[in-house]
Amino acid sequence: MNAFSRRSFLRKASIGAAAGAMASRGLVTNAAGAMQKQAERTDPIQASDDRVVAFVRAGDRDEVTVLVGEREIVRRDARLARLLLRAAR
Amino acid sequence: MSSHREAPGTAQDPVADNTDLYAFVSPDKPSTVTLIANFIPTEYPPGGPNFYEFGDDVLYQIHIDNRGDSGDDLKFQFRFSTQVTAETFLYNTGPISSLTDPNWVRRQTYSVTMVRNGTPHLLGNGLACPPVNIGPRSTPDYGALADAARHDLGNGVKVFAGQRDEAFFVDLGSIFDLGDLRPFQNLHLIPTPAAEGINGLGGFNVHSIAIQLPKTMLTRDGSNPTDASKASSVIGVWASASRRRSTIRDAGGKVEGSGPWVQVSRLGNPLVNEVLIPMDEKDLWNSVQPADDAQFAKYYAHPELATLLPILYPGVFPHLKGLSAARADLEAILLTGIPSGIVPGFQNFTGAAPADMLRLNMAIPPTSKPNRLGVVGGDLAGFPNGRRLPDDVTTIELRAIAGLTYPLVAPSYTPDGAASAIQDGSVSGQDVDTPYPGTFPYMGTPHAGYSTDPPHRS
Repeated sequence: MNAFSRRSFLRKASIGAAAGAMASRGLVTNAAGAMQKQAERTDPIQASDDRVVAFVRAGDRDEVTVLVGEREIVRRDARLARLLLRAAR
Repeated sequence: MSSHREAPGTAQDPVADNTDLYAFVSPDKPSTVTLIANFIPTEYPPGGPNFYEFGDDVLYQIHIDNRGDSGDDLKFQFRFSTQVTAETFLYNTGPISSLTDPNWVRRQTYSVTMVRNGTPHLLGNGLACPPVNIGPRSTPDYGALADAARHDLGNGVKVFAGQRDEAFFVDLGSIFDLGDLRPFQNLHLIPTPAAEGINGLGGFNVHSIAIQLPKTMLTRDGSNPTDASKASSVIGVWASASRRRSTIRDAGGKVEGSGPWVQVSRLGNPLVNEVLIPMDEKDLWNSVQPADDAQFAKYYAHPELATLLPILYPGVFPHLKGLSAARADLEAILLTGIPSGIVPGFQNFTGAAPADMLRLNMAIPPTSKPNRLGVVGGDLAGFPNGRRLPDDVTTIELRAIAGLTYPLVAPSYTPDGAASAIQDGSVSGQDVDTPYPGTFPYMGTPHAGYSTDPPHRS
């Protein structure tokens, strides 16, 4: 299940849970908890308590380095780099 | 010092500062090899209430090359965890009589992971370090505490991690006062009367990670090395300390690391980064792997100290002054190992690619009469065949740099007479404050804080 279809699934599950809430508030809580657990199981980033650190090196403005846990992910992503640089202004 | 505070980066980060590395066939158990990696230089024994300890945020490693490719075919990783058990400013609230004594408030445990060809195997977890040696009221039977912190991990593997007496000895004050080597001050460019040397590390402690392993765990094919002429009898060893790529300091004093481990300190042969590598490349040297040492080979081949000695001691080193060729002897000793045919009955060659590693020929048995000058002194079981605790590596390397070992590769060269007389002023392990024990972990009992005068107060 890719990220998009997973999000769609979760959105549908959320709607279902919201509908159920008219009958029982407790069910909403349970459904939301289950939804969160589903996300935790399927998304390796969200599954971790680790902080995520992203930075753009001074020498390369098209590249973003992401640190999470003991991993380092280097992405050539000019758009993401620009977003970070804009946020830094 | 051997590698204490040897680079700008490690001088600011003592917890991650490799100070010494030893590798030797265990004298009391010659079917095994003992590896000792020391960290945290010049621990002042009374230094409480926050006494010295390993870094929970540091990855400590001992690496072994057993294929002659300068890569770590085998490595041992040590990770530490600190527990605080009571709300007090004190390290201990009463005498510490055991490693589980509730009076001991701040304690460390650690894990040992063996990584063979990239695959990790957890060998031990929750292993207790001993406390530091505080004094007769807090640590009344320190020997028993240290003994209890020797852990048997099974399959012949023993491990110890904790405070010990500093085993290295060197007349530090003389070396860094423009190479004014005691007792030869009268021959120096700026002469003073000759006087006896001083062990500048006397009275200090250090933190040791010691691991004893069957030789059969260290060879590439699991065999027991008995033939000193075989390449498979030789291992290359180095130790390192690494920190996380990023550190975030949160409000409230919490510090958290992110990203992969990045090497900030390493050590193979003693005194290399200290004496051979220029100041502005020392942090770089610490960060790279031995397999990438070709970039530093020029500093081994043309050591700055070999140029300085004839200047500092006018007229004492005329032959060394005229020696401008690349020092193939130093490159062999420190970067490739000594090939067969140079020293009768000995080799510790690991290939032509330059890599700074301590090289141990495990087929050479320990001797009951060690010579502190190791191979230079005719004792093949000592440095640069690995390194034992009492080996006088400062004198050995001073003499080698002064030209004593150059005839090994250029028989027509005649060393200066001073090359075989020059020595480190601390002379020998006699100046180490406590004797080297004959059993694992071989490092002496650390100095107690209560019993310690400020070092060299007189």
